[in-house]
Amino acid sequence: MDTYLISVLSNIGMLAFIALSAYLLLLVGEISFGQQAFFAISAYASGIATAMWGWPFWLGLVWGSLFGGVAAVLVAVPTLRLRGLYFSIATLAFAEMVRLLFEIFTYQVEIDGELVGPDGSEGFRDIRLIYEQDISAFEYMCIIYAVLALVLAGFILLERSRLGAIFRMIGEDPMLTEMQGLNTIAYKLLAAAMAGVIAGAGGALYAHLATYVEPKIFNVMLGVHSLAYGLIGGLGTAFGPLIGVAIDIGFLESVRAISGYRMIVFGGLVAVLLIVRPRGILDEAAVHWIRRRWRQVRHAPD
Amino acid sequence: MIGSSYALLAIGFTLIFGVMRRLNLSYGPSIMLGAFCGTFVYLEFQAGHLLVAVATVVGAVVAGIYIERLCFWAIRQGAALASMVSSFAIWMQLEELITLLFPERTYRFPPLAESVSIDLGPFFFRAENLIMFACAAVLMVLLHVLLYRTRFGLALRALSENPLAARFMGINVQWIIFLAFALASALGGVAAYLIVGTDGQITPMFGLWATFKGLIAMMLGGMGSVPGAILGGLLLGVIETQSVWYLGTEFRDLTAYMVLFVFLVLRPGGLMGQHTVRREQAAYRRV
Amino acid sequence: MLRIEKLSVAFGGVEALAGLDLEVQAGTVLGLIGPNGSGKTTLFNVLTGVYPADRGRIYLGGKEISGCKTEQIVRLGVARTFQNLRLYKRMTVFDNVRAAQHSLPDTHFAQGLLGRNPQEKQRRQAARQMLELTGLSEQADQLAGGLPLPQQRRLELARALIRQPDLLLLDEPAGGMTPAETSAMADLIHKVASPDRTMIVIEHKMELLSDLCQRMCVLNFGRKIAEGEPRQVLEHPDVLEAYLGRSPSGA
Repeated sequence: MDTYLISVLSNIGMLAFIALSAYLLLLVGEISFGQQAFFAISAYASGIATAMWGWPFWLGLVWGSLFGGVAAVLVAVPTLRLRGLYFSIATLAFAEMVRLLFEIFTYQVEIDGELVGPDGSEGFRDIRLIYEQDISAFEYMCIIYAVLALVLAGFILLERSRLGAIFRMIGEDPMLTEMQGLNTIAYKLLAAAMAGVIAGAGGALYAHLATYVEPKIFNVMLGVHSLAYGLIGGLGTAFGPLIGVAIDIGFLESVRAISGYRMIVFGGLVAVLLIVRPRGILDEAAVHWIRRRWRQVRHAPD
Repeated sequence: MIGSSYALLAIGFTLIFGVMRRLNLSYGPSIMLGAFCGTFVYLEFQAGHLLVAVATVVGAVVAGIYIERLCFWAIRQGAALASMVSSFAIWMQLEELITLLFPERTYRFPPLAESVSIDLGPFFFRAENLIMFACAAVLMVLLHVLLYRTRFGLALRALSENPLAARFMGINVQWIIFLAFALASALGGVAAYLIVGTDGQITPMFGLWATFKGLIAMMLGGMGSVPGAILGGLLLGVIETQSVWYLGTEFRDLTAYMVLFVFLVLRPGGLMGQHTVRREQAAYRRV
Repeated sequence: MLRIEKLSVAFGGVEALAGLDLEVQAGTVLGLIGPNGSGKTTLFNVLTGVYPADRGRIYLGGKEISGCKTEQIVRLGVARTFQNLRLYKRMTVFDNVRAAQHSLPDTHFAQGLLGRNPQEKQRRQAARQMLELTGLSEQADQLAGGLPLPQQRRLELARALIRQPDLLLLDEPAGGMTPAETSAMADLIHKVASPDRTMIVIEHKMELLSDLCQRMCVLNFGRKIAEGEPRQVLEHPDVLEAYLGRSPSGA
């Protein structure tokens, strides 16, 4: 497989994490502009763990993801009681705070005579664990997709479960859901924690692939993009955000002929798409239709 | 002093939010487009101040109308997220358009005034800042008159208070929204002219910068409140200068965001927008 | 079963409820009527914890619930329908009914998250039976948003009933229906009334209430202006005046 394709697929895989993270919050009806903060926090945390504390990769990955989840809960507790857009702006403010804090965050350790560690706006270099262990680009891509598959499996289970139904209920009509005897705030916190862990997983994977993270990357553009992926691909299923990522990256990479006008075309297409399908390509109605057809096909007399 | 420019940006945001209950993420880029129109006119035709200002405002308004039609008018009520993401997509579109048409990193823009400083007792001001402040003040007065003494202003305020009732009173909601957008864009255009004129140059980063400053200022003052936007802008200006003074420039933006975050958690209505918060809560409970 | 003391709620300057006293005996059906804006839905909202009253107390089965949150009150066995219909339009009919079951206590919690729960099987069965009862079995797989109004109202009723509530609050269950549809709805509500269940029904259509309620209560401007047996209440001069604007003899 050629290196270019591997690199593109790896990018799609990692972006998928943050897209799924934003999507999960969208399911419960919250618009978060700030999931990139947990992506960042986990990138740094896992990088510190493997490059500076000598932890193995998987441990660093789990550590980073959990860190992301905990951070998400800490932020969600004061902010989830804010209505709608106020919550969204709060997430944006928080994410920017995190980014700016990393610009001044320094923590370095001497390893083998060299200083290693995050150095404010210089970023955090030398997260080399993957390369030291001779894992090829292809193998790492498989790792990314293995973790992603795990997350997707989780989402599929979620859709069929009571928790998933409750999330969607809260997303559609929180007050009605309270009227069914459910504590919506508690479930939203749970969703926030889960979303933080997912974003964290992506961040840890990113840090080790890129070997270098700097605060500049974790900006609001990333955050809004992650929302856009879900909204374009469709909010009816976890595959929606994946499709959104694939469309964006695939489009961006493939249409060489109009390379200068990519965003003009793509931006326009997105705007038009949202007029026609405000909840994305695979929105709830589409998913419902697909499920019905699938059932009809399965039960069709031969 | 720079607070007054923030205030103007915030007013534009708040006007749109007040009538539409949605954020226009493309506001910064749209007025940046206007500023680039102004630059174009200046560089190509050596136009004078007035013409450049007009070009800026017209450019901003045209961009604003484009966004309004495509992202807000065309998307039905209740799909607020779709509008916001759509406006984001257009943001990308406009930025690319601008970098295509104006590939340099920075362009000259007619400065508001020669670099003169004026001493007034213990303070000293640069002429541009004074002009900006004065223009902003004049605009705010005009806006106040517009909002409180004209029928259009009345319709706008009615629409902000209670969209459903406004519709029943025969107010042509679509038209008012359209006008409000145009007004917000025009104000943004003037703000852009003043700000870029103070700097003497324009870069493509202006759109992002303007969006953030306007957003923060609006939130500090209270979403949906014009006097709040003004206060919020001034407050942001003060916070920034104070934090640079006491903590150093790296902390400027960080402080602003921290203050915003604290405000949101403790008092989401900002300085003056508590009524909007209450209204949102009441709407939530309307059964 | 339900006791309300001096309940008062004001919105801005408008008094939606002004010192209301009301008692509903267990197992009975109370018809709640009154002109538009008289506070009926507000009463339901306060009863279900959507917002707290400014003054007054509410006792459910002897226990005070004034100021409790919606979720707590519902778990005590209260269910309601909405005047303006509130359904999960993006979910199927079947899932709408199931929605009310999700807060029932789960003895198989972990399994519940994964959907492999013997209790869930029973609940799905109960949901299917409820759809049969309300005549919605054929529509089970359709999206709730696409149903015609009478079916949507029946769906709301099904959703409210599936928890077997002790107190059932129906807010204009026949709103927007033709006389034939209203009559069908009335039959359905009759079927679900029982001595184990207390009901309060808000309606404008007297034909639905006449055979159904043992007692009626009339509100006007947030106050109770009449209460008692349906026949007496409907002939009460104050009631007629509230609805028609002046007393029949002209004044």
